[in-house]
Amino acid sequence: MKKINLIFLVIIVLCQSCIRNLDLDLNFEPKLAVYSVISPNGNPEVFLYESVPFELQTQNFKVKFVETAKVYISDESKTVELTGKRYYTKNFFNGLFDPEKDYDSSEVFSYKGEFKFLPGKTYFLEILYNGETIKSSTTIPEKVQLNSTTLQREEKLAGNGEPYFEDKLILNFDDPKSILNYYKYSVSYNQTVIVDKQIGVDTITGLPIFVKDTNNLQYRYLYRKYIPDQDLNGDNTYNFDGQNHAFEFLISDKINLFNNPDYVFNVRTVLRNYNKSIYDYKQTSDDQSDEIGLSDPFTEPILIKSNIEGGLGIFSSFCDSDPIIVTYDP
Amino acid sequence: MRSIFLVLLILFCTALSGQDIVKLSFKIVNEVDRKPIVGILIRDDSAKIGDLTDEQGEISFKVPKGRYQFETYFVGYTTQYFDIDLKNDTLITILLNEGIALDEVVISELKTQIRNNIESAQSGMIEIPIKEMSKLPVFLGELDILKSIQLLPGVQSGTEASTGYYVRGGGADQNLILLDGAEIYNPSHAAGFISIFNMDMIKDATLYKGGFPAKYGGRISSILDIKTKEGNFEKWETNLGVGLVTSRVTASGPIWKNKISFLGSFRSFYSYSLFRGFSGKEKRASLPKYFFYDFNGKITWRVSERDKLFVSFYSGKDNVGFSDNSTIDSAQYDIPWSNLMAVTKWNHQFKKGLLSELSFIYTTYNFNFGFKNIYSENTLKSGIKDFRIRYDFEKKIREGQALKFGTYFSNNTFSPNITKQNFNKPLEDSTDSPPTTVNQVHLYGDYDIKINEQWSISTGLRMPVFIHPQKTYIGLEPRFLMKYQINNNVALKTSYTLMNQFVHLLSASTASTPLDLWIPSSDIVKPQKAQQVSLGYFQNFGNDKYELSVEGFYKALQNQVEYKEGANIFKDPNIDEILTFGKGWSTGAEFFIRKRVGKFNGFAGYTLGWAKRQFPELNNGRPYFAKYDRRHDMTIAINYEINKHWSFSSLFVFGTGHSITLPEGQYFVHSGQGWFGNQYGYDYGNKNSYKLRSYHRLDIGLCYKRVRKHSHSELRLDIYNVYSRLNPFFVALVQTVDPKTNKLNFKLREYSILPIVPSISFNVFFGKS
Repeated sequence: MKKINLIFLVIIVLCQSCIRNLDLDLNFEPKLAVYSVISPNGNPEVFLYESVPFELQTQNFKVKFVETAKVYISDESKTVELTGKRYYTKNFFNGLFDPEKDYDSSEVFSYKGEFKFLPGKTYFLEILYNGETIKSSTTIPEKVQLNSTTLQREEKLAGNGEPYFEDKLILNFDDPKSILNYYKYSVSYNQTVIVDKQIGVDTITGLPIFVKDTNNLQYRYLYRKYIPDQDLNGDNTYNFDGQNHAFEFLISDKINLFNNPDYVFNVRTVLRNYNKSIYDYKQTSDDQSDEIGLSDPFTEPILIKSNIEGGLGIFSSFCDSDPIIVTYDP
Repeated sequence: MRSIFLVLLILFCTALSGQDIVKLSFKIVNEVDRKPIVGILIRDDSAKIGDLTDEQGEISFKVPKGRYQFETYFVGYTTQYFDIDLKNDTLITILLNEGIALDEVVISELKTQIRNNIESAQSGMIEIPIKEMSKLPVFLGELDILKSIQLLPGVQSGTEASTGYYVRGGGADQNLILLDGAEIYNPSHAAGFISIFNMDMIKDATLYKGGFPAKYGGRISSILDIKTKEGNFEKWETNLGVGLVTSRVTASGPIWKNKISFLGSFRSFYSYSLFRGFSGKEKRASLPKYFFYDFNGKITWRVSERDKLFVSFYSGKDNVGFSDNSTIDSAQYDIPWSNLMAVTKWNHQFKKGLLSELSFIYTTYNFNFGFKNIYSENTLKSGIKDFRIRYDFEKKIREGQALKFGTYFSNNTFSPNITKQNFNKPLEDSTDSPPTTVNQVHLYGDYDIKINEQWSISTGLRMPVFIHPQKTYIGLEPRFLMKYQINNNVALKTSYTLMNQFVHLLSASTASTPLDLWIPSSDIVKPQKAQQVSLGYFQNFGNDKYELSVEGFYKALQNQVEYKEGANIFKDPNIDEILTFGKGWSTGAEFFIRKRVGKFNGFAGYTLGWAKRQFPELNNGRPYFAKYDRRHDMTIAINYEINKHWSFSSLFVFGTGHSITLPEGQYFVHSGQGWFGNQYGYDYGNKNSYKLRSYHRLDIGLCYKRVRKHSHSELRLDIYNVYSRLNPFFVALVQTVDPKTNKLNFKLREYSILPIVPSISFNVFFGKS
């Protein structure tokens, strides 16, 4: 129900006779698309792809890995060259895209190396490819610790009068005012991530941010004063105040253990603080995917945000809190 | 009063002597009261003689004996011709019919229009030659003031045949349109194809592109000041017009003879209803429904010699409705919008020459967007209520010096976005955004000084105070204009102005629609600001018959407002949170040449311009060309009066195509979370880096006029786009299925809406001629 659709519809109804197909004469030049997100928890990995012409065809999109680039990560004191390598991974493309002909859908190519990253420091990416230099930089956000993670069980009554238990997980942390915060919290159980939500409070602009839940593609929030409770699976509307935050959500539907009340298990929680650039990249790429700008002449297309000088994509960073592991022992 | 014509009578010729050089004298008097008429232009083009009648309504020329073809020129009226075989000193007395007795305003206009571009320090201003424009070919028989101004240099049109316009690289919302002093927020009928201004009602219009007098404020790119006519104080007249698109009826006459007059006009769109009526039943059900009407009225009361009171009224409404049955959950759309305006003005002349005008102005603009299907019902409403009081003063201090000052207070209520999402719930469960009320107080003063014959200066200052519940803004807007007159026919002018704008139009669409939202400045949305400098060369030549100007400008824009990419007012109803702010700048040069009088008259304009914008959150923060950045824009308009019945006109326009953004490449967008969320993205390159094909077309028009004792009629044949150029209206990448491979493809399609469009229209005026 986009307004541009209805304008388009009216015009098309009235002006069927004045349509002609045009040849596309586009100024295509292949560009390097970068994806790399670094953190103090791990070593760098850089994916490089080459853009392909817009060929008026959307099916069988070919992923073109770049294998011949020189990739360097550096800070003020040292530079490390990353080494390109092909390796297997599970369901990376999942049949949605075709890698190049000598790859299969379980193979990827990336550049890796060893580098120790620290919160608050700026790191530089430099790529030499086809005689050109592509650059970017990112500053790793400060670590924001979780104060506590609490599991809480409440007895409730179902519609038929039967009692049942509702299990809540409550994460509590203090939001520093001095930094931009694009948070995500991660809850895992037996090494499987069961909740992977992104949240954020911009303490500079004072505006709260809720970054899209990647498991729930239908929601898209830019800047809102509050997060409706249904989006957090909590009971209350959550109002950000830029100070202390406690996120509360049900995990009963994530870990269904009611049939085995004696089962004891551990839940691992982490608060991840993202650099804004990755938020912008993800948000705009999701927006572009959601919108119908290609076929709608009256709407402005969405350009995917990038921080790569001379290329496309993203070089960004995050910093995880120390994990808190709580034991579920009913 | 278009139908009024001149009765020319040569009363007597007096033979005095047989010399080679003879004296030719004219005297022009009112047919009824025999009072002289000032400011009538009488000229012979080929003999290069001509001038205006003096206070006695007289004018004389010493010319060789021979044959002369004189023409009389009245601003806005049909030029009249007569032949004289001059053998002796001759006095010709011309009696003007009562109906064409020009009032003082028109006489003043005649003088000022011809010499204004040289004599005045004002630059960046064009008095719209409505009657000259009315001779040019028109689209579907509809003369339209907004389409007329698109022909002027420095003014670019929006989409094909639309009334939207862009001035000197500014946005569409940066143009203030005043109708008798009331602000018009949406001047369009029929999605912009027709403006709300009924030409039967318009007396004059002035467009300011720069060098804004301090009297005007509130917009940063242009001011269009439209004034309506007064009714006839002497007798009743009616005018009927029948066109392919609309029909109208206008009536004018005295309620109290010589004291109170009335002028009213009703216009209605009916042709599409006829078109639907002729369609088959099945097809009719799928066609959109549309209608509009508008009504203008004005009552003028000459209270005394020093006082005049008038009430002006406008009401207009549009309604679009259609169904989309292409999906299983078929949807119904209903989109009405309306304008209402009422103005009361009291003009008073104080004893010491101080003129005042007190105005009470009320305006409302409303639109609804209604959508419903089996799952939900959405209503988006936007409205503005505007009440203001103005008090303007003007005093001529001494010769060459004038002071203008005044103030106004306004109270504006904006209901920019009320979204009711009703997913199978009662309507009362929906949420309404509260309206926002803001107040404004503006003070201004202008002082015009003619230092000597060469130098003139106009200085002004305006102080707007904008009061929002969360934030108050106070501005200071200096205005400075200077003229250096090199000789009697050549002048150089320069100007500097600073303007603030406290209301903003949000448009997620590149087409002008009533769905665009007006919002006021707030603590988040700062006022738009523009500084503009200009330098111009102005020249009259050929005994003021020709007018030439070249004017360059540079305009810097701050606090520009746009939606963020991907913002959707239905998903993000808190408008403040989906906006982004940036800056812009534009520069260019405008060339204009005009021949005002003679059988063969017209004008040509050319603009070379650049317009750019830069928003941190758009186009990855890089500057980009504005949507309506247009490198070249040209108009050539010609009118030829064949004889007293027939006239021919033609119009050629050319413009660089609009900017568009197209995907150049595709690339893999990595989600970083395994396979889930991976996708391909489009690389659009730079925003607005492509241009649609150039726009050009030729229109021609033929007009036949016939004058009778109690009526006069006009039959027009106009052909829009004679060589049927399929100009691009927009392009779209349309997804299709290849029938052979069954694969999805995109095709780049260009849509044009108006090939050759002939039209015929008929106007008849009833009243004593």
